[in-house]
Amino acid sequence: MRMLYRAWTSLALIIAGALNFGFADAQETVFEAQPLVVSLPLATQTTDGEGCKSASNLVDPTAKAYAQYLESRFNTRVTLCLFNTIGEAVEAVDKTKTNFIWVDEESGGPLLETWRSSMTLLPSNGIGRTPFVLFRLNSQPEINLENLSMSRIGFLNQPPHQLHVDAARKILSDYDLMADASETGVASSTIPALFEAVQKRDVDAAILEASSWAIYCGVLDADSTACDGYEIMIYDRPSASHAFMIPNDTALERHYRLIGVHIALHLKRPELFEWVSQGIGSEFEPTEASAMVPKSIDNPVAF
Amino acid sequence: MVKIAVPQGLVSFALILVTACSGSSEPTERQHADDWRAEISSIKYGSTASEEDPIALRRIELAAEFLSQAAGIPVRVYQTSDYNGTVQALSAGQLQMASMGAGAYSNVDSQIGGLADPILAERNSYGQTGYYSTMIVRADSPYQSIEDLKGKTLAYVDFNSTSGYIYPRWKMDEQGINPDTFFGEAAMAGKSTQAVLALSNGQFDATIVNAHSGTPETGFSMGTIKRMARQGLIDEDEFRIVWTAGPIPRSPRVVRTDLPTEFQDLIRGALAAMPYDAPQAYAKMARLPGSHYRPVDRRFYEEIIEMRTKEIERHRRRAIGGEG
Repeated sequence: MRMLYRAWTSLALIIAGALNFGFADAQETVFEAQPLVVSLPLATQTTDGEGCKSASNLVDPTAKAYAQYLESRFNTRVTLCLFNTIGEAVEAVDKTKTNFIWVDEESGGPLLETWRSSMTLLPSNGIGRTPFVLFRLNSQPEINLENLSMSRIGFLNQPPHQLHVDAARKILSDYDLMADASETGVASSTIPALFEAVQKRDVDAAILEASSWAIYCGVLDADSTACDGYEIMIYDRPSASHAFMIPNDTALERHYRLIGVHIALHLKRPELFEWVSQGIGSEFEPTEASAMVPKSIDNPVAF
Repeated sequence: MVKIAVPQGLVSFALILVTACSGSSEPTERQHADDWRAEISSIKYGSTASEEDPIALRRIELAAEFLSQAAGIPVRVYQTSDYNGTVQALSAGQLQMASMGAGAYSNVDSQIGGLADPILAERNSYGQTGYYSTMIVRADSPYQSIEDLKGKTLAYVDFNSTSGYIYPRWKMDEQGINPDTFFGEAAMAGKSTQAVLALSNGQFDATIVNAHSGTPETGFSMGTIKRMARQGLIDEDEFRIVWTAGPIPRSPRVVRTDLPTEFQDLIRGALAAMPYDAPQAYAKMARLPGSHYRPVDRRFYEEIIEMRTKEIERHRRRAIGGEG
C-alpha cells in the first residue's frame, strides 16, 4: 500500500513539475506587455488627421477616448495610427509597427500570409457569418464544383430562411459559382421541399444554412442516417468583407483580450463603438483566422 | 454544497496539480501589464451540469479545456447538486465564473449586485437569443390546453429555474392564471430530466421544460424533450405541448467583477472566439453550427430580474401570512 502511495506521489510530482515548467514558459511569453499599435482608416473623421500618435498626444476627443480606453484595458501604451485609406494603412504596417489593423477585401491582400483575421462586424440584422452546406446526391458523382451551374442550385427563400439568402449568394460568389450578380438559383419554400428537389434531380445541388442541415439530418443524433445519401461539396462560412487583423504570431492572450474588449464595446462604450465601426455594423464579432482568405474549390470544406 | 467533478481517489492529485500550476502562492503588486495571474492562479467554473445530463457536462468540460489553453492556467469545473448551489458559490466568491440560467443569475444579482456580470449568451444562426418555456403533458392524456389543467398536478423544475419556474409563472399571472391556486398541487422535480421522467411515469399531469431553435408557430428543433429523445430516454411522440411562454433571454456565462479586468476580457473573448477558433471542439458541445456567443450585460436580463424580485416578494408575503 505504501509502495502504491509513493508511486502515486512520485507520478503526481513529476507531472506537476512538468506542468509547472510548461505554464511558466507560457507566462513568460504572455507577460511581455507589448505596446498596442492600432491602424484605422479614420483620419478624415478626426481633428488629428493622418499619422501615429500616442493616447496622450491625440487631440480628437473620440480618438483619444478610444486609445485611452484600450490603455485602461490592456495596461500598456497604445498608439493610434490614422490613415485616409485602408490601403495606406496596410502599406505602412511595418513602418508604424502596427499590430492591430482594420482592413477590407480590396486592401487586405498583402497581409494574408502573415496576419490572421480576428474580428469582423455583425450586420444590423443580427445575422452573422453562419456556415453553409452545399450538397448533392451521393449517386451523382459527375456533379462537381468545376461544372456546377448557379441555375441548377436549389436554395430557400421563405421565412425565416430568406434571412440567409444574401449570405448564401456571398459564399457561392466566394467559390466563383456565380458568374454575375444577376444569376439566381432554384427557390424552394421549405427544407423538405429543398431536399426533394435534389432527390428528384430538379436541381444538381442545394445550399442550406448549416444549422438547418444539422437539424434536418439529425447531425446531433449519433445513429442518424437521414443524410447518408448526400455528399457535402462545400461546408464553409462566407468570407468576411472587413476584419480587424492581427499578426499570426500574436500571443493567444492578446488575441482573446482584443476580442473580449471589442465585442463588448457597443455595450460599455457605445460612442466609441460608433466611431470605430464606421457605422457599418451592430457589434464586433470574432472570426476564424482565414475569414479574409480567398476561397478555393480545391479546399471547400473548412471544418 | 459544491462538489468537485473529480473521482474521490484523485482529489489529492488534483490539488497537487493546481498548486503546481499556480506559480505565485501570494498575490503580489502588479508589476507588469499582464501580471493578472498573480491574483488568480486557477479558474473555478461552476455549473449544474452532471452525469445525469452528459451533453451538458461535456459542454462545460470542453469549454473549460479551451479556456485553460487560452488563459494558460488550469480551469476546474465544479458541479453543484442544484441551481442554488451555483448561485451561492458564485455569490460567495467560491467560483470565479459560472454557466447558469437567467433566473439563477437574477438571484446572484439580488445577492451581490454588480459583483457579478453576465458577459455572454448563446445566439443561433437566425440571430435569436431567446428560448421558450413549454408546458407539456402526456400525449395520451385528455389535456389540450392550459385551461384543461385546472386543479391538476404540475411539476416545476426548480425554484431557480428560469424556463421551468420563474418565467412561466410570471406569464401565467399576466394571462390571469394564478399559478399558486390554479393547479391542484405543484412540486419541484429538481432538474428538467427528472421533471419529464416524472410526467412520463404518471407522477404529475404536466411539467414545464425549455425548448429552442424554433418558435411556437414553427415548432422547436432543440430543448429538453428533443435532447432526452436523442438520449433514448423517451419517445418524443409520447408528449404534447399545451402552452408556451417566451422568448426568454438565453442562459448567461457570469463572471465575478472583483477579478482583474484582464481576466474578464480574456474570458469573454476566448469563449466568444471558440466557435471560430476551435470549431471541432465547439461541434462536440452539441451546439448547432452557426450558433455563437453574443455579448450581453445586466440590461439583457432586467425583465427576468424584475420577475424574480416580485416572485421573492410574493413568497415573503405568503411567509408572513399575507396574500399569495
